[in-house]
Amino acid sequence: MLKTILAFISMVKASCITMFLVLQYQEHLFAGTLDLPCFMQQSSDKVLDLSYLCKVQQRPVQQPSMTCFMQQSSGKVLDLSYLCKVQQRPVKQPSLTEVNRDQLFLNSYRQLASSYPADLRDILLETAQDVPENLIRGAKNYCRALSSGLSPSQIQALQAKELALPPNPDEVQQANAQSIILENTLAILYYCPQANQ
Amino acid sequence: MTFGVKNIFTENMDVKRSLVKLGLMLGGFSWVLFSSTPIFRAEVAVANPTKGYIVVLKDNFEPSAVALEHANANAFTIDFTYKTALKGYAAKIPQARLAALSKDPRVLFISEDLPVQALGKTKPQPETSSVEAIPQTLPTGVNRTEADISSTKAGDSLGQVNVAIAILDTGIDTRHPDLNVRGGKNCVTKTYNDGNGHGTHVAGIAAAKDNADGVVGVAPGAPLYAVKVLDNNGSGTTSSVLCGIDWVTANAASTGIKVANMSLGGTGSRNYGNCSDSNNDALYKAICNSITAGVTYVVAAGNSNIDFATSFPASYDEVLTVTAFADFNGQPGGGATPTCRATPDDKAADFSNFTSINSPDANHTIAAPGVCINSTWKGSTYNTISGTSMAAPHVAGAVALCLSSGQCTGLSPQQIMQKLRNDAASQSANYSYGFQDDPNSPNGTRYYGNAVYTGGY
Repeated sequence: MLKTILAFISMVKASCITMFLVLQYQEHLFAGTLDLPCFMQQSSDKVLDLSYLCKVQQRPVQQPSMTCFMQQSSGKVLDLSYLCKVQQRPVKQPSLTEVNRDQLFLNSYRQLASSYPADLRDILLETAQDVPENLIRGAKNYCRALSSGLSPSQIQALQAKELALPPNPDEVQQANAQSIILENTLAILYYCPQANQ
Repeated sequence: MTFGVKNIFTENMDVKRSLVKLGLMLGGFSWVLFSSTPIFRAEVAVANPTKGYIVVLKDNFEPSAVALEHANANAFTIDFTYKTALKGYAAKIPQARLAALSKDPRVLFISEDLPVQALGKTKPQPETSSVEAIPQTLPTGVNRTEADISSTKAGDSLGQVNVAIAILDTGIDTRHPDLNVRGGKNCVTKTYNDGNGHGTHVAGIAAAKDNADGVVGVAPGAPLYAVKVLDNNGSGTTSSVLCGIDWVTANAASTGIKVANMSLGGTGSRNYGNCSDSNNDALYKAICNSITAGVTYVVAAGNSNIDFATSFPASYDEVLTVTAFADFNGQPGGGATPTCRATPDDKAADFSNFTSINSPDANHTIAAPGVCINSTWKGSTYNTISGTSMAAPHVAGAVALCLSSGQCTGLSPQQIMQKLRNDAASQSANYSYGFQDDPNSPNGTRYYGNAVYTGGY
């Protein structure tokens, strides 16, 4: 029972952190018209509605009054302000080399992944170690798709179709789905900040 | 009780709205908590030198219970328990305890846990990763085995084989767009993703999708199961391979797995040819039981240019063992210019293991292209490498194709093996389909088998 409760708490914390980042960059960075990918379709055609992630009350653009940060379960606060600073500049590519950009992307991915429940976290981190190319590719493909005119919802529908989650996905398949959400989220911060101007 | 993220929400947004969204998120996304593999560990300090062993139990005993009892009584750690392909467990056991364990009436025999390796020959050098898709080409091996004129016509961008293939290897890149990875089992780390590339390469040879991109496999788009039994260095043990075989056997019916590819091997005199308990070989026993469950096992012969009689699992009579020959243009007849490796076209690969003409091993041997094979690679890329590792999945794909087309429907794994060998021999004898060093043009007493033919499937 205790194990179940602890597992639930971990899950809630990870959910909070993920959602926090999503909501924060919606509300403070891209206020107005950001159209996030909001659903995940399974191979059974069941659609998981994540639109609550998108339906944030629109408000005028405002300057961030705080830095981006994330608190881990240990209590340690990770300073993610560099994620926000990039966005505070008007339509300006950060002066990063491609390698640095990839590295920063992967670092942020690992930071986010570290906050997930243990089993999911381990798979996400192992994936980041074994096939970082896939994560970078996923993020870049997301940006390419955005620039081609597809909406985030359309892109995620395509991603979900390609992922082809079975009705009862195993832990690796669940991690892949979570990974795509992380990649999409971080893609806009690192590879196509102009996409939301 | 406090949650570590509480202040984030209270400081920056409406708490009530956030909690509502959080509830929706948890409800909307089926985030299933999962438990780790049911391997228990009795962490006890061990004073005696230990080695890895596989303890095989008699069929009427429950492996987990016996393993736990043994671990507690003898102070060792359990690595795997096996419940389907065989009953038993793997553990690092103090050598001083072996004699006592073997006297337990529930113990059938004890095998030494031996190292195994992936059998890719050359150091892999992946092609440059690109976000852009690479237009599909017909790999030479798929062309050479005539999969392009099979019922599925590999290369026409249409069709899919519906017989599932298990790849027991370094894992498979689960997000490679050219592969239809349906699931898997990790026996080494946390995920069955491929941190090496070898398993992804093998998978693509057998079953890359017939689409517009990359390559196409012998059995295009066949469902793949990534059974990770080798680590990111391509190394494993018989105990990790047993874990994979146990999973394949347990899940063959539910997943539709009919074929298992093992492009791996180790050394040791293992060929007893009786598929029984008398040789005290746990891996052999497990493979035999898995074959009985309806799975055809295709294995690589090895890359040491020696008789594979001392290699396992290549020397097991019940598996289809695949040697490698070179082909650089997808056509028989020789004469094509070598590409990545200086081996004459349509000749046995200089590294390939073989058997001898009069050996019982000749009865379970077949050949396939294994030099300079282009296929999928980890990181959603492609790569060209060589080895009997690359030859085996051509044959695994052929088995899937044969079953999918109905040509092998109702046949046992042993009958499927013989059909593939007979069809290969017939094609080579009648249509100049073979290669130099095959049974029609032997190299001394060396036997490489005939080139697999999929055109009729």
